[in-house]
Amino acid sequence: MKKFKAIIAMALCLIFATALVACDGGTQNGGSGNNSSGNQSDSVVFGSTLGLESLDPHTVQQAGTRAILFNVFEGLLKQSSDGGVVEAVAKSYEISEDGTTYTFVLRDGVKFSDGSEVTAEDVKYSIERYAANHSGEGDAFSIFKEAKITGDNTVEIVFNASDNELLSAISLASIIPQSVGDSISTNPVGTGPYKYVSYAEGESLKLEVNENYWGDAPKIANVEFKFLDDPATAYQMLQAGTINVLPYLSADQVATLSDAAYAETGYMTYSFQMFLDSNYAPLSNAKVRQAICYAIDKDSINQITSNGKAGNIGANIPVTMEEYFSADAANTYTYDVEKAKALMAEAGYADGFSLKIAVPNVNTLYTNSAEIIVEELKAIGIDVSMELMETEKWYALYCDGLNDEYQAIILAWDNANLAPNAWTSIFTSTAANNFMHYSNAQYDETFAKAKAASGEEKVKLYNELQKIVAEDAGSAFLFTPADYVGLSTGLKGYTYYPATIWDMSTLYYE
Amino acid sequence: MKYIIKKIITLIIALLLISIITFVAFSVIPGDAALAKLGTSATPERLAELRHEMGLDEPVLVRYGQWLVNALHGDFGYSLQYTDSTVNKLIGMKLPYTLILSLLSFVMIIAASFPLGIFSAKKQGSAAGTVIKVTSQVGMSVPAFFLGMILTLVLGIGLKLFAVGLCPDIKTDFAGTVYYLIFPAIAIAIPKIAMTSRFLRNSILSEMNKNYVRTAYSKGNSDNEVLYKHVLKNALIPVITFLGIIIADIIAGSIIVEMVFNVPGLGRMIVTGITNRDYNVVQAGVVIVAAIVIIVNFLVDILYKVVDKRVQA
Repeated sequence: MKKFKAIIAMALCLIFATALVACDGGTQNGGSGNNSSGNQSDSVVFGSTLGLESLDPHTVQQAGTRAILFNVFEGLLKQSSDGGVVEAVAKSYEISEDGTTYTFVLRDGVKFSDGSEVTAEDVKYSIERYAANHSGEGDAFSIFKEAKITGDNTVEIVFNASDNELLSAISLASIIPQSVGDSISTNPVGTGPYKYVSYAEGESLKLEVNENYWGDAPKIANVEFKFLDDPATAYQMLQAGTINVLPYLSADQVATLSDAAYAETGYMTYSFQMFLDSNYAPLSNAKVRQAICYAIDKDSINQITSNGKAGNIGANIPVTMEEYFSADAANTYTYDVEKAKALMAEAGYADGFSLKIAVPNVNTLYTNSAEIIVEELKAIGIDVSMELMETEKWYALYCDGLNDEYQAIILAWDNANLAPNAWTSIFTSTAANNFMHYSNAQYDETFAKAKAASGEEKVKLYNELQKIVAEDAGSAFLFTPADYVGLSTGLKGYTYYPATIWDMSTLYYE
Repeated sequence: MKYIIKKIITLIIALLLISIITFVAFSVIPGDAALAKLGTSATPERLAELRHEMGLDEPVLVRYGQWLVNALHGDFGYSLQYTDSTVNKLIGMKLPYTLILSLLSFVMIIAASFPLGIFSAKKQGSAAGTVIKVTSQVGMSVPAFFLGMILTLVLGIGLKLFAVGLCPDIKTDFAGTVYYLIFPAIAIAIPKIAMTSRFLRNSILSEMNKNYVRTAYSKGNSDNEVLYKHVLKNALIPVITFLGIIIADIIAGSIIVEMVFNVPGLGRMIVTGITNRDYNVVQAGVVIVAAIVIIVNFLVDILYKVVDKRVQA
């Protein structure tokens, strides 16, 4: 009996061991096969730490989703890497004298990825569907009136009022087939360089080259966006070569990259600021705000957080908006503790006041900058403290406005719309999202003028606007953060756009 | 039978409580799904609109009531983040990974901790016993996520035994998925192996001091006969209870380890769901994990009764 038991035990062990070995042997090929598929010369795996909310281009709210869908969908116009717009589905356009009617002539023979031709009906349908989803107050399309078909290949978009900055908004209205309609989120058919293959929520989106694309065919045939929640894991994957592109690396990560990858350096289109609440008595005094600006050493923050690769700003428009960015405003304040102390004394706060800064626990860019600022402001006598908080609480703060508890907030202001008013409107006293309660009559007046102007005049007025807000220290303007994108060694051609866009069509292996 | 009915009622009450706690937690923490979705593009109007669309403007009690009624029909609603998918679909996609991962680590724990526990009990006081004791102390103290990172670094990036972060699709490559999951399973298993073997060792040693052992020896049994025929039977009873607790730990541990290894499982779904304030997803995920833990413990209870006839219903 005892022997029998021992034999059975032995047999079980053997079976178990064989099963394990067989399992290993059988799948090791699968494992390494995966490894090599990541390095194939015609495929790229992009690691995104931002999720994809939906495949419907007309309801997109998040920057990450817009950045990815740029590869699948196009509007009549599309954003270009220099911050302007270029023709896409349309081959040309005209704007009426009064600035309310935009006439688009469609490019000949543009096809959707399913092979069907783009018609004027599709364009009309798409513009109307986009407008219906963007009718809210403050949205550029809130003044949309109608879309009309005026010929076989011409479409007119009519607005209720004129606005010089509508082209950028029109470029966001993707053209989709009317026949697909509301099922676009499960059957994403567009005119972009890539077409949809498959999608697993929270995991990956697979794309392949759209052979019906009207423009130059991309060099990389297969693209996969992998959604990753843990930045540390994502970084390890880049090192291991299982992902080939990873945006938002930190300066520390760039410094420790192995031979398997390298980093490109550009800018994120953010204006990184410490917003100051004007409802708080000391901060309502311009002298105090100026003192804060003098007390902060922007250069050292830049060196410590970004190896000096961040862009120096002095007002609300980031350096990436080259046409409108004011380099003069960027140099309004130079680090000067004595001057800061003198201004504090002039304002009657020689003994300082208390200040609490809300800091999101997003990454070291925010936390390191905040820690330096806290020390520097202590040096001019401000009793300053910071609170690291979860992003949700931080979002709520700038949504509901700064309050008695937090008088300042570190925030990177971003915008998908590259029109300069999108960056400057929050500082006007009537803006709904003026969460720092800033108010300056001269600023409001100049803003109204700048928004209505066009051409040279517009550039001049926006420069003036930046000068006003810089000199009045509307906010402690810090920098435009550096954007480090990690790429597998040998992968070239990454293109930076002023807006958050991950264009896969320009990549190639060398 | 009475016993089973009693257990089922406890199960239902426990699940209800858990769903209420999750719901309350979600209404207490700052931010909501609408805010998480809009991010910096939030304006008060758009927020209000989206909140209405998501049904977030209803009072908490009404929302919980609606959720409960639907959940009882097996419908966990739509994800607030991935607006086009139902929670049921998401769970169907992700649950298999977590189950395989948990099963793999459980098998590893049993396969390694029993021999280790018995061996270290036998060698108690000797050099080998001390080595095992110290190693298990270290194994217990290292958190699973840290082990995960070390394994990725050494076995993934260094030895290239697996493609870091690329878990194969379970539908197209089942064997590949199982192979990939062996590594996170190791990360989960190591601390638990240390704990279980230590527990078994102590259990054996305390049995060894009992009177029946002396009787067994006096009847002329050898060391091994005493250990395997008499002591182990009794020593295993507390270990079974302990394993019930370990299973809950394995599933909890898989949440963190899934993040480290980028496994598309339930744990990662819950963590992402919390970040996005997607309470439909989190609620369903938590309830399912809780149900698994409770059911497993229920099975352990039954097993316990089978092994030890003295336990009364």
